[in-house]
Amino acid sequence: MKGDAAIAAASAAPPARPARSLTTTRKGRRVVVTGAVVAFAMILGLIGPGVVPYDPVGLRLEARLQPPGAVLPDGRVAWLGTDQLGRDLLAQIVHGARVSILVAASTVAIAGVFGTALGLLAGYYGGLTDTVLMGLVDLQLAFPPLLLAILLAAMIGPSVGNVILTLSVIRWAVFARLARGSVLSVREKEFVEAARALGASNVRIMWRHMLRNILTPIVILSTLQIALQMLAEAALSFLGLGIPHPLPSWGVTISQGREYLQNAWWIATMPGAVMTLVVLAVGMFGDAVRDYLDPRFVS
Amino acid sequence: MARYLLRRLLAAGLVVWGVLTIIFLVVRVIPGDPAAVLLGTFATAELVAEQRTKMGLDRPLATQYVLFIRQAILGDWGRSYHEGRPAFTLVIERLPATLELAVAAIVTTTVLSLVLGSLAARRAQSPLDRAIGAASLLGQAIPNFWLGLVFILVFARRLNWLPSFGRETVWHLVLPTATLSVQLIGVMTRLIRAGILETMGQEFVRTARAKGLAEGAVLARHVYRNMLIPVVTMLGLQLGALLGGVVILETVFAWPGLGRLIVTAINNRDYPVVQAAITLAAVIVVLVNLLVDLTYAYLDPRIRYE
Repeated sequence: MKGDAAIAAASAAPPARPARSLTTTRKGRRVVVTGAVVAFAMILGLIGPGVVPYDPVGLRLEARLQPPGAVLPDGRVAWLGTDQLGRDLLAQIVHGARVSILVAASTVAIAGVFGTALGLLAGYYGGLTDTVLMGLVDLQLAFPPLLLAILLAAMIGPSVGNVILTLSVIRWAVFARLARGSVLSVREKEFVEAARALGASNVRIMWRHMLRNILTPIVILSTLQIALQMLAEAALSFLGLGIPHPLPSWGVTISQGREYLQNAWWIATMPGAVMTLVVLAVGMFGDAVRDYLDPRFVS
Repeated sequence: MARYLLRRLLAAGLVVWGVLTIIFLVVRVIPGDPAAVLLGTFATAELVAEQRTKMGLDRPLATQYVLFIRQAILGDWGRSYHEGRPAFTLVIERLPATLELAVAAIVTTTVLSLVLGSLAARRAQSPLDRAIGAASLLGQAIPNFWLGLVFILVFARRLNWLPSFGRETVWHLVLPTATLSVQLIGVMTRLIRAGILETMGQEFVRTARAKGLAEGAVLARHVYRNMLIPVVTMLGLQLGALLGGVVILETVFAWPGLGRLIVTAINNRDYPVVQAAITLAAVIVVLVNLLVDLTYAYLDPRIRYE
């Protein structure tokens, strides 16, 4: 059945948008540049652990608390220094990046899919479904997210799976609210009516016609949420409620470095500095994507 | 106004009830037996069963829920496993320290982000605007617990200018407040800048200018007054994030508030205290947002009649 899609495409075509190009417009180029930085960090985090060796439980007392740039007894250079057990900080940061990226991406994906689906249902069906689901959304948004995460994490204990669960639970509501709002704005459009007149089922209308039309704001929100999730994971791990030892995590390394602030400042500061740069890059990428995709937003 | 007030109060009541329900579900329904946890690894099955009866865990879930809500309303959260004193008292004792920190951070944030946001908006697209924009992004990207450690390292350990731990003098407030404000200033500066720019494009601003009003008067009487409502709302909404930040920073700065109590209680598996503290924090956030709503409904009649 190609007919209803064609009608939908024709009536959904937005009124003459400015031509969009990734290379010739300033906004487009910003997406490319910030995207490249993020991609670089991602690749480093995903491939790096295979290249940089790191033994989380290895103890090398002769190499402990070495400052950045120090030459270790085995001849290697510790570019960012070593920690209290003689482990290389650079290796720890690269391995921590993998965990951080994995957790942030998967939680945004889970929260995004669930939240969007529920928002879609609420907006499409309205009535009681809408009232109940949006009541839950309001409730979730009223509960300070990090407090809920701390409570959940404290109850279910630290593990990678539990961190992913916890951080997904605290974010779905944002997606649900956005999806519902977007659905309401397209629900009465002609292309939906046309699809319905052609006999399309509710599921088909939601999946093929609505979801595609509300995807842009969802994508923008997802990019911005990834930075928040990286910060949340690090915060939980810093409190000992996130990624458990001996997995490398930025939050855990920073927390351990607290004890050595006086004589080995690099343990706590290096992972945080790297993390700030990565989160900043992701945030700038999110902003760039928003400016590029959303013509209404003028900065 | 009376109808609006009633409706908002009712809604806030529902949210508080929902918050309590979430806490009950998280604490009671998630696998894991609080009685076994309390008694430790060496407890016999009989001892655990006895403890379960004492804690009411052997009753049906619905009964437990009703009891839980009743006790929450009465402020009876049981005794701290660790200290033996009522959990609610422990939590209330810690509240002033947290409020002190939160209020200091909100005041700092409001003043600085108004100044920075106005500067950026007045010189939109200038190098100054871009610098402020970049700094706000950076502020939002820095993990606050890490920034706290860097501040301690630089201002307490190296320069010896400020104390880093505890809550004794007003100087102890400086580093935690600064750390807590950085992220919020980043968020609020961007919002205030956007708010000013949007309001300046409105028809009533053009009218005000057209009738010959001085630029300063246009800003004060028309732009800022109209922009402040969304700004105050956003500040209210940021309160949840602020409290999350407080929990972590109190640990970093050894600040004897609610957050540090929560973290210590979690480490001691002192669940009555964890529940009481998190409930109180969540309820405070709901109530403050209610207060914000009511204030601006009072200030702006349009909101009441929606």
